[in-house]
Amino acid sequence: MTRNEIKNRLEEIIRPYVSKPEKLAEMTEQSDLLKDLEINSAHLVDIILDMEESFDIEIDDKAAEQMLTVGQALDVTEDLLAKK
Amino acid sequence: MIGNDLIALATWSQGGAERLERYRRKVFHREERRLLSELALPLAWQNALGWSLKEAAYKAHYRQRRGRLFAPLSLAIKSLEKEGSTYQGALLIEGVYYQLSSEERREMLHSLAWKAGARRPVWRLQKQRPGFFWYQGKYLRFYKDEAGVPWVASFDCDEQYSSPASLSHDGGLHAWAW
Repeated sequence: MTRNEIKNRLEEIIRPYVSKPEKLAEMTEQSDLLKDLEINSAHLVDIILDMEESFDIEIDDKAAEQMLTVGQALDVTEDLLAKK
Repeated sequence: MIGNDLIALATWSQGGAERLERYRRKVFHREERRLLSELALPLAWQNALGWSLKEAAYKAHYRQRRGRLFAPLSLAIKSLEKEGSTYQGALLIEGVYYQLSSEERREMLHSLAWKAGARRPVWRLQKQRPGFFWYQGKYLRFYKDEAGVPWVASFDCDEQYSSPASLSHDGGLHAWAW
């Protein structure tokens, strides 16, 4: 799976938790999940659970700590997919 | 230091039992899961309450930290009881104890955390973002500094005093605590 394919799938995972759709249109790898996309922190766990289901991976505490931006979420996913 | 967290219960993640259990294991230690179970709330509301309390304490403890660390298991709720219509408890993070309080109002769950032994914070719910209040004869103005850290300024006899505040928003409402 390419990074772009992972990004497209991640965007669909994030979509239900973004209150302002225009924020998603502006999404880049540098976008901060909370500050830029304005995702409520309560939904961070939902996103992690959705990612685990969608990519068939397990995101542990240490990996989750690194996921502050979209790019970091992609890095974590790529890394875990490579280890499968 | 103080922190608060507001959750619109209507938008809180539900899901099936398996998903709710996975959520619990991502966020809570075994002892925390036991404490929450004893409250006899539906599993989804247990998760909402526990998350909200931890989020409030996280904001209080890491008030000055830039960026954000997702590490719910680094916080540990040590006690939690229902007292009337509120939930009261204590939480430990990096050797520091925080007192906790949470209550449901207008279909919103609001939680407060403050350093053990300090004054219990006051909080208000507003529809509009600008935070202006008359409180005990003083005019209060809420603002964020350049680092995005919230403060409250009170005006008294032409003097201005600033003290720590906390802001949380969800479901179109804003909760200010100070």
